[in-house]
Amino acid sequence: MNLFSMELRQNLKTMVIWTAVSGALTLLLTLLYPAMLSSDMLALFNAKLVALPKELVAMFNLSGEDIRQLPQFFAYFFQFVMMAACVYGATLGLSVISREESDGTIEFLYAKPLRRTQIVTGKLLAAAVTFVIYFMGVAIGGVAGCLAVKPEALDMMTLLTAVKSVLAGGFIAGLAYMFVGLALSVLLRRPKHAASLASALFFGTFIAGSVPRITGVLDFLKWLSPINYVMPGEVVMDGLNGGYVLILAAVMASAGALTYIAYSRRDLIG
Amino acid sequence: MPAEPRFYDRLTVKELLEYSGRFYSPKADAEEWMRRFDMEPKKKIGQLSTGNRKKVSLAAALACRPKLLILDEPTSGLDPLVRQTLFEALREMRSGGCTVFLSSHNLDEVQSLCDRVAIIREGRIADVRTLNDLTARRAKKVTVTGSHLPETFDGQTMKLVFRNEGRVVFTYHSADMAALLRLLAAMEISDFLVEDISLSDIFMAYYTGGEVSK
Repeated sequence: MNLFSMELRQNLKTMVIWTAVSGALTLLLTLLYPAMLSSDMLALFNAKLVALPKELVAMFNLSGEDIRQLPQFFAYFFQFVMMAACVYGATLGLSVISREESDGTIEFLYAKPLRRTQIVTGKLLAAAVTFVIYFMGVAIGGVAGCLAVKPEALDMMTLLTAVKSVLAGGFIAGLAYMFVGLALSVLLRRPKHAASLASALFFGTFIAGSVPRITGVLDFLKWLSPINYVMPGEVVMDGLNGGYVLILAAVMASAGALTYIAYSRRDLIG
Repeated sequence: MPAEPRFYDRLTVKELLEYSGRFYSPKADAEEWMRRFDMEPKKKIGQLSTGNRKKVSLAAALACRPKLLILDEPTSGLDPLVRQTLFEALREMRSGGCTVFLSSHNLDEVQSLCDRVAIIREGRIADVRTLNDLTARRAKKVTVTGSHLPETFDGQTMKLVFRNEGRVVFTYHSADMAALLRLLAAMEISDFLVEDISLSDIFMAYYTGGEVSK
């Protein structure tokens, strides 16, 4: 508990910044919905899409179709918020242990009556709670925005169910990146620059996962990116795919187990 | 306690010591050590000098009432007053049953604090002895200035350390002090100095391959 609360405290400053920026961005983007409904804006949006290379359109899953519906509009822009959430998740996972090692404070922690597994548990829980708080900020921004711009004709339950699924998908993807980042931080020796590594992890898997959409070949690559398991455009139509969610849960469990096993052998000179 | 302790720079001294103390049951209270080491509780760790960081590290280590203390160069960067406080604290810990491992290049402090000494050479323990044992086996270092100084040394009782014109330094390895006095009386000397070989000389002997203390 002591380690957990100290970790939360260490994460606090960046968490507040990320939460405020992502929450406000989600809210503001949702509030743009009425403007998107105007035919001029839609025409402009479609014209810009036509001008973009089709590979780029495919990579970022851009489409003007159905954007007039609020759930689809929310799902459309939320994929970009989700990217930010995934980068933050990966940063949290990568930095939680490596920060102590690069700062040299791990010597202090190793001199305390703590097992390696207790260190991982305290840090993992703190990172998870940090991510939950962050994502609550995003969810509040999204839901508040949706409620503010909800057309009267749209059923409240339909909207909330769709938004909830999209948000849940984003949360799971971000959490998956956090676990993978955590495992990587233990497997790589003394990783420095967690933020750049997190970006590399996210964009590496994202680009690899986009290859099938762009080229139409190498279909298996799409499984490399957790985002492809919970793509907002698909989730808003069909809901979360239980099988995909189970796969991501298995990825998280494996990464978590790997972290515990690898870290229990960690030593100062190891 | 590492030689160069590193902590969470954004915490204050008090916050860090409280954080450290909460890992123990009952909670380790560092108030007494903060007072004894004359520390500034509200100062941020990031603003502390090396010596003050060391004091934080010592307070954190001593407050948890350890049964075993491993200290790496505990006095480097400390001012003489704090050093004295630390020595007192270590003697208290020792008399309270705590085993203290102390790594130091300062052999005077080793000599004044330790019961047993391990000499490490090239990463390996070259020898482990009690300080009493080392002291009992100590030879004398003799420095003689004058003319008609001894030309030869047997390499057993007397070993040449240094010679130049009019000055000889040798070690004397015998408990027979009367024989040493007779030897000195036979020389034409203008000055002489007979002293115990220090722990430092003994230590150096392990590095130069000599056997000063034997």
